[in-house]
Amino acid sequence: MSTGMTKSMELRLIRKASAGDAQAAAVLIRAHQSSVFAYIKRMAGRDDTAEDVTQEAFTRVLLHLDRFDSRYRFSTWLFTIARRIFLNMIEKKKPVADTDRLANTVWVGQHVGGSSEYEERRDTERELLQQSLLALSREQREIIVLFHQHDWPIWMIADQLGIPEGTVKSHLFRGRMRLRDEYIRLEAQFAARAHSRQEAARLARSTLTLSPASDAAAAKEVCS
Amino acid sequence: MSHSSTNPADSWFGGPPPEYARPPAIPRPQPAAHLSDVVINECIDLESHGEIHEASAMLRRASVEDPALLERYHETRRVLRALETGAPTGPDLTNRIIAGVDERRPFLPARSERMYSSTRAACVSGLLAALAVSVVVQWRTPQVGPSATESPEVAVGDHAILADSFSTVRSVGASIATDGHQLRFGNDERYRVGTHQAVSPPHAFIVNFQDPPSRVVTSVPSPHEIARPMIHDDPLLTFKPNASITRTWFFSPEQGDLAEFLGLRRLHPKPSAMIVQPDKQIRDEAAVK
Repeated sequence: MSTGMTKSMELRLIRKASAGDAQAAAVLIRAHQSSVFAYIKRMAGRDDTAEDVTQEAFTRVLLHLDRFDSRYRFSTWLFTIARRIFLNMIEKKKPVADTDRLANTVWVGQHVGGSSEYEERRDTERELLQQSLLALSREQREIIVLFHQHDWPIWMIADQLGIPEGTVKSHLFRGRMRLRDEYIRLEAQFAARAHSRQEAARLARSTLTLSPASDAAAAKEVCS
Repeated sequence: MSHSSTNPADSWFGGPPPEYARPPAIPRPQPAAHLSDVVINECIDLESHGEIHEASAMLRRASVEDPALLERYHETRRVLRALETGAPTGPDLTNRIIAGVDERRPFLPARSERMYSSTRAACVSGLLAALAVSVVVQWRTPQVGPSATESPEVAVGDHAILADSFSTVRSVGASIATDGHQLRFGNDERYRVGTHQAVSPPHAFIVNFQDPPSRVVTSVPSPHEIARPMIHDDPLLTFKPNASITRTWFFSPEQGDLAEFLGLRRLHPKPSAMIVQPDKQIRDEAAVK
């Protein structure tokens, strides 16, 4: 995930924001907020948690911009702070994975009106992916997200998490395979649920069409 | 020696153990599946390093031995691609964050930002430094001749004479002012004011008025030093009409050489305006307050 900003541009913005320039701070926020949000959303599985952590991380960063060491990347610093806030948050109050959303997500083709079939499928896949990620251990999830979603190299992830590169690779391997297996399992489960819903709907329709006749039969029986 | 034991294992020696005596079954990964996952993982690593050909060659080789591997690979890739391409998006939190920070440590208002920009701060500090230097120089350098009395009538008309007398020339300098968009030199001489002239030091500050031998330099203290190569793109090089010139130096070829001029210019900042009259090959520089 690239911000489309050169390092010198970024440094200039940081200097300005540090001097109290609100516009420069706004440009910095707009450049980085989506990646921080996406990272925390994947880790927590919840929009509200991701929003809170993103907001708090930026607030802390902007209040302490004078401490920023220009030898490092701004995004790395921001991610470190966001991660620390998130970990503190789950230590205090574990965020619950939003599993209800999965149960309530409608399988492809079941929506009536509204978004297109393609969008529905994309939403479902997104939800399945999120749920599969939540089935991984925190380390696996974090490494998978940083590597595949944020394009971080192994050494950088190792540096960020404070673990050896070999451990990162091992988590990455196990995480990939577990993510795939979990996704396939959830997908099958989801398809089965959708199928049973369709069956139930079909049965309900057929019952409704039969009901006038059965009512007549019952009335005849009562009369006799 | 009779040996009675309560161990039930003794009673079924030689036969299969009963259900309760069996050790719990440990689920072990299928070796074939594990191996194929290793290959898949390696292929994904190769791809992420841009080694696509090596990855596909490895996949081809491995799928000959295990045809199911290819399908597993595609399943893995499908899930990872969804992760790589579909990052979740959130709302724009910029205003909320800015408001939150502003509560704890207020940002500067837009006007103050302009006022305290680094460029302006540099200008102000430069101005102060220039003022300090000029005060010191004036204090140390004794005044030549009588005091610089204002006599524009004498000054206008004969530049050669003016150049001969430092005090008279000084008074001529005092008579230079801008009138609208023209530089007024006494009562007669008028030059069109040019703004943002692209000239390079030190030539910008050497002026020939019609006939040699006089060179004219006018200047006022301003926030910039001559040594700075900013003259081309400095936005302060604007001419302010209807302004009077506060300080003037005149150099004649005999008495004022370039080195002297440069020495003086180093002590004083560059002027903030210029005039140019190209058709007469006259180049003048006038700094205005």
